[in-house]
Order: sequence, then structure tokens, then C-alpha cells
Amino acid sequence: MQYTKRLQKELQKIQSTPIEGITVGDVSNLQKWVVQLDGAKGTLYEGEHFTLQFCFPNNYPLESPEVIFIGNVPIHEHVYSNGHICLNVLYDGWSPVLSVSTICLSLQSMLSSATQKVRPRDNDNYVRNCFGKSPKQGRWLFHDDKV
Amino acid sequence: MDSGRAAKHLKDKGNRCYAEHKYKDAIRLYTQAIEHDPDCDILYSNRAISYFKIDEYKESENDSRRAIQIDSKSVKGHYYLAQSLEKQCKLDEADNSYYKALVLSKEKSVREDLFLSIQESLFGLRRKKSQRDVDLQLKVVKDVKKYTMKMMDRCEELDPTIEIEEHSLKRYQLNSFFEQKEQQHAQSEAPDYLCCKITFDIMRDPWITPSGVTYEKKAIKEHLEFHSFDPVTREPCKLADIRPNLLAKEMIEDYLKKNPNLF
Repeated sequence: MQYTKRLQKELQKIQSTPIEGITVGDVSNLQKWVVQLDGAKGTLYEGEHFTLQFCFPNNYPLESPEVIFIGNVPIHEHVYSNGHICLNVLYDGWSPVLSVSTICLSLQSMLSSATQKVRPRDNDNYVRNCFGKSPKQGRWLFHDDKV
Repeated sequence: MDSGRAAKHLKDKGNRCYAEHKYKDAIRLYTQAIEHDPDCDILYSNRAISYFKIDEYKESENDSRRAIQIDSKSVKGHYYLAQSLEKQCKLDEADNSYYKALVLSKEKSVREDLFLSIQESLFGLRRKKSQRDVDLQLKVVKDVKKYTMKMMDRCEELDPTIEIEEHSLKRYQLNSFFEQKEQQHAQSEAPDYLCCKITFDIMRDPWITPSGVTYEKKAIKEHLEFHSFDPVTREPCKLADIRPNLLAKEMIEDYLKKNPNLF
């Protein structure tokens, strides 16, 4: 990797000053992290636990990481049933000063602001078309940019 | 043969011996050459490095100094002087000489590999120095802590009127004070404000955008090759808009001087 210090420092920081509801799991491979995200209290997802997988490209953070839900995928209008997430900052809206913790916070707030548990309208179509592909390969039309 | 040509002939022979690792022969030939031409700095610096190779550091130091006397801008003179001083454990003097050699080699644009090895030696020395300083300070802190705790025990034994509660509070406070000191000395991370928001590492070449945010030049350049916004503020920003941040550079150099373990 080009900026080796970057991920080491992120990991160090997230472990020394943990954020509520965000726990770093397996990081034996520094370029592929597993992070647990807890549904916040007082929201539709309270008491639920989700698992995120981060894959970092060689030129991270200049390029965004690939982030998907694995296992138990939350039912949310911006999360497809295959784990892909429709969130601007993961794609065109990425900036190299964002980080694992800022992404987790964005996702947490995205989940927290939900008023109903539904899948995206085009879920079946999308999942069929992008089978086996990375979410970063797709072209995203954002349903709304408020999150 | 005139003495200039004789000296050159002997020097070339000496250089061949040096290349073949026959350092004692090289020293003999350089000595003969010096008899013919006593004012040539290169002869002294060549003999200095030969002495260095056979662990004669004092001789090496003397020859380096002679080379510098003849040509105060001799890169190799300062470099070899620094190396021999380092071997003699005169670390602060060695630091000075490495630094002079580095500055001169920039001025005179010497071969890149020479420049890099001087730089690497300087950084290596600074790491060594800072480790030495940290170890020393840590030892003092630990000694004082042990002594203070012992004295507090003694007081408790000798003076039955002592307020136990207050005494143990003070003991606790002192303990955490010492612990804090110990941690400070073991500190190994640069402060966030001297780190690039992209690389998270201490900046070597800080450049500033029109929004006023400073980044490592390499990282912000690479970002701006594909995007036209400032990563932090998201305001428009093009490659041609960024400038070196000289204040940040001075601050970082100053910080690294005080914390050379971060080199």
C-alpha cells in the first residue's frame, strides 16, 4: 500500500478511543476489516447488530474503500439485500479525509433516520444485475442526498 | 615527475587499494601523496575514510578535520568527521557535522547516493540520540519515584500522628504524577496538527490549498490530478492553486529536531 501509516493509525485510534456502537472485529489482514455496527437506541434498529466489510484499495485513502454489509443485512431503503449500500460518500462523494469511523458514523445516522423498514424500490432488479460485482462498479442514482 | 603529478599517481594507487579493501596500503600511499602535496583536502578525506575502515576513529577524525581546514566546504570531510565522532560516542558533535555535510551536499548538488547516505546517517543518529535521552529521563523519573515512595513509607513509620487518609491521597497523587511523566517520555506519535489529513502521517513537504488546509504535497497532488475540490472543505481547488506552507514546514522541522525519534 502507498500510505501504510494511514490504516495503522486509523486502527490505533478507533481502538484507543472507541465510538459507541462501533466495534472493530477481525483485522488480521490490514486491507480487509470487519466492523460491527449496532443499531442505535431509540431507533428502528435498536438491539440489532450488523456486520460491515471494508476492503481498502492500494491507493486508499485517495480512492474510497469498498463497504458492504455481510450476514444480517439491515432492511433499509438504501441498503440492498445483497449488502450493497447506496450512500453518496462511498462513491462519487468520497473525500480522502473521510475514514472508517466517519463512514460508520454516516451509516449509523443513515439507519437512525429511517422511519420505516423497507428495501429499496429497485432491489430485485439491482441484485439480479450486479451479481458478483463490486458496488463500486455500478452507477449510482442517489435516491436522496440528505443522509 | 613534478610533485603534483606524483601526488596524483600515488592517490590513484591508493584509491585502487581502497577499492580492494587493502586499507593499510591505501593509508601508506595517501601519506606519501600528502608529502608531495600537503594542501589537498581530498587526500586527507580519503585517508580519513581508510582509517575509519580499520576502526582507527581518532586518526580518522584528525584527517577529516585537516580536510575541513583546507576546504571548509568539503562534504566528505564533514561526513567522515561525523562518522568518526559517532563511533567515539560524541553524538552531539556528530549531529552537527552530519548536518553540515547534508547542507553542503545540497548546496553543491553532489551525487544522489552520497546525499541519501548522509541523510540516512543523520536520521539514524538522531533516533539513537533520542532513544538515549528518553532512556536517561525515564531512569531519572523512576529513581525519583522509588525514592519518594520510600520516604513516604518512612514518614508513616516514624510519625504516628500522621493523617493516614491525607497521606495515602498524596501518595496516590504522586504516583499518578510519576506515571504521567513516564508515559510522556514514551510518547511516540506526532501531534495531529502536524499530520496530513490524508496520510495521517507527519508532513514532510506541507502544501496549502486556497481554503487554508495543509496537506502532504504528494497526497494532495495525487488527489487533485483526478478531482477539483479541497478534501476537507470541498471548495473548488485545482492543482495550480496549491502552494508550499513555509510556516508549517518550519514548525515541523523544529518539532522533529526536538523529537528526532519521529524521523
